[in-house]
Amino acid sequence: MAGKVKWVTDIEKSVLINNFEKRGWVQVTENEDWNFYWMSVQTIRNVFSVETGYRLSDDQIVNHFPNHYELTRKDLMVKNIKRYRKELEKEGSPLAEKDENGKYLYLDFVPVTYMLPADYNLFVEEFRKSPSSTWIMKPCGKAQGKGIFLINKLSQIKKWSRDSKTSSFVTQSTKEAYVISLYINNPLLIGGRKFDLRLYVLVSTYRPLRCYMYKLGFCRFCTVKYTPSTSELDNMFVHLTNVAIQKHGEDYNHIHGGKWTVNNLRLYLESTRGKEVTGKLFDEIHWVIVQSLKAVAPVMNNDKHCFECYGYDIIIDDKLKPWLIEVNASPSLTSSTANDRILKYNLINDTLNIAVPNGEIPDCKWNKSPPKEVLGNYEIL
Amino acid sequence: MPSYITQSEKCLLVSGVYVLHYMEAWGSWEKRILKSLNSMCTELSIPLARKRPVGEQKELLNKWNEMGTDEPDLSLFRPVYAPKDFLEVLINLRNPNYENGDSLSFRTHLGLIQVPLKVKDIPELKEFFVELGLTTGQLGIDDSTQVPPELFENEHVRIGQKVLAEQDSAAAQQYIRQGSPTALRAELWALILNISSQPEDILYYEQLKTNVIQHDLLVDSLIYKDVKLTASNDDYYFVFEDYLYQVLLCFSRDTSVLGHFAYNSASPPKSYIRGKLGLEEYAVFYPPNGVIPFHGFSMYVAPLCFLYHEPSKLYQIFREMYVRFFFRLHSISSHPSGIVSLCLLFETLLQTYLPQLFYHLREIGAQPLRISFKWMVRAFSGYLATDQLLLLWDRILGYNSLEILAVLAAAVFAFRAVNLMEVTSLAAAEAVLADLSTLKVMPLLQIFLFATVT
Repeated sequence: MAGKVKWVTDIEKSVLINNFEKRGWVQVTENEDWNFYWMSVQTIRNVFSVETGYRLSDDQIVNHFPNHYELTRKDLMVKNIKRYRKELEKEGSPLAEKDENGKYLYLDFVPVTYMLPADYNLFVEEFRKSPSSTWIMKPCGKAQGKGIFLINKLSQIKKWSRDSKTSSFVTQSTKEAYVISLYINNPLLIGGRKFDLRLYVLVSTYRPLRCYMYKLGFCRFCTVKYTPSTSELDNMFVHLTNVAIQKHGEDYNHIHGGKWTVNNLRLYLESTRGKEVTGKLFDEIHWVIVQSLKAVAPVMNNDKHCFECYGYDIIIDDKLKPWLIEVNASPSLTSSTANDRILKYNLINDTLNIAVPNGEIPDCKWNKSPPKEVLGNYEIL
Repeated sequence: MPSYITQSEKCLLVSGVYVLHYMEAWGSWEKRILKSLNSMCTELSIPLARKRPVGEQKELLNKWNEMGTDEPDLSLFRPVYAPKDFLEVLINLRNPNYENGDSLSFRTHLGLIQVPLKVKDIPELKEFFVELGLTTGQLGIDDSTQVPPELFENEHVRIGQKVLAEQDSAAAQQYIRQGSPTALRAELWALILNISSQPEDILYYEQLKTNVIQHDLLVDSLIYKDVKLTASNDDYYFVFEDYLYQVLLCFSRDTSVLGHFAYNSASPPKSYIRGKLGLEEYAVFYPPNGVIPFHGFSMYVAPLCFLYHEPSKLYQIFREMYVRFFFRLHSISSHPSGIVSLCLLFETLLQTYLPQLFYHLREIGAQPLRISFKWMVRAFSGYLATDQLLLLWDRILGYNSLEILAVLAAAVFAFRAVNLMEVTSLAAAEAVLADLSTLKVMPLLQIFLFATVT
């Protein structure tokens, strides 16, 4: 019997709700029989936690994989990629080839990263090799640019030293864990401004890996001119591109929101740098995304009830090399401009078309191979 | 120090019966602009020009690459004029001589422009724009993702590379009629415009920059205001805000631009040193380049930022584009690429080939020119998506003519004719035509010129 899809969400965003309503789906509460639950990451933790012993039935779909944090927590992402590279190296795979300096030729797409306080000593060794470099400290569990700061002196992170008198077992808990990465101080600048790329990637299954990249990603520009000068290290408007931070800068504009479409970026790069290098850059970006997913695929709980739409943050340096900064499990669905709202609405629409075929009550046993026509603005990676 | 501006003598280089009359109309328009500038100057007690104190010069030099972050108080400044003010002047141009044979058929012209200039009809346009025909490959059509690149695109790119290798300016101009590949466009435009960035060009730009550092002009504030109002709010161009200041501030001090007034029927506004009004030896042009910016002026520069990121090159290209093409869009003349001819061409195309639409819009008080004027004055910058705009400007360079702007304007009306036939007010018509950002320029032009039954 073809009933209507019953949906629940704990994220009250219009771009979601409008999409559910336009499909004629019926809203229910989480205690009732539901078919589709768009959850926040807190909820997914509860659903799949060992204590609750929740069992999903074949006609229920959720929008996160149980252990998505293998990809979306900064420290675990780096750990998995490092593990993946070592495995390929052991197998003798040509992908793991290195250059004469010991750098991976094809798999060097994450800036050098260490966990703190666990890798403190390793980090210090690396820091001393190039003492004039800048590093970026990021709390593992936070988002929207919260708690991030830049350092260029060891004294600024004494707190995380394992031998520090102030350390105790408390600081080893996940709440205080940080990653420290080499800061990319030669980002590609356009109009003198730094920007990063936000790309949306949908994964419907990890084994076999089926992933799609949304063609309409965007660039987020800093409102203030970029300067690597040390006096500006504290000025977060120069360095961080998160909209949540930029929104509070004096020059933030609510019409364009400091955003450019990826198509604009492509046009600009082709016009000023040439078609081949631009094509190569975009190919490399696809490569980075696929490799990062392959890296976590073996450890992912490939639950058939799950799909996930990730927000990938990528920075391009001035040699046109893309760097993966992080992957977000819950990309923001808030809209900062009218264009933004339209983009996110269409994103959810195309996502639902792939994840919930024909908008009908799902059957988790389906083969997860959507026909080409429903892809919308997604392209297969 | 110059304290106020007066009109200068007219150069009557345009021949024809109506020249004197145009000059009168242009003369009174110029008077108005100058009056507006003068009164702003008096009201705000700001001199037209002043030398900056050394401290201020140092500060500006430090901030040269990020003038956009400066937030001077611009609330008291207003643009000297906007395109719609200029349109009123054009509408009031009248031909005093109705007996001329040419104007017999002109009496049936129901548009706003009442000046009987000769404009091309569709058969003549088809001949002029023959390379845009249905059987010739085009970038903007034949490079779309559904078309295999072997059919046209690859060969076209190869030819473009050859033209560049041989540095053949005339061949480049012919080639670009079919559109330029994105990767070759910057070089092709430079070749066609004969811009080669010699050391002396870079030096010249640096000298202009020094001039900006040392002196502050009233028009600088007008430029700031314009950029803040237009380009800074544009989805495509906001990124390049700082480049716009670097180009436009230098542009207003560039006296070599005065050269274009030799073939422009306008004349540069002159200013006199205080107390020496009327004495030619104390006359200077104000602003030094003789061009007073209007609302939207910075949009002539903005699209070029997608092609050139080196300031002196960007500057040279813009200056050449201005003295070859853009100046015609805001001065009165009888030149076929002048704004008056473009308006008349637009109206005539509409009235002749879309009469039902034209009459309907007239009936509801929505004269089509009132809507399309601003597109043409800005050469569509800020109205089309950037990639489409660049394809359009390729053809301006290729045909060395701005007539394509009028043809595109008519083609846009033709494209949205069905919706326009249903509106009942000017506001509703404006709404139908408010968003051109999804239009594909080349198919529209091709269909209008070559595939419509006339």
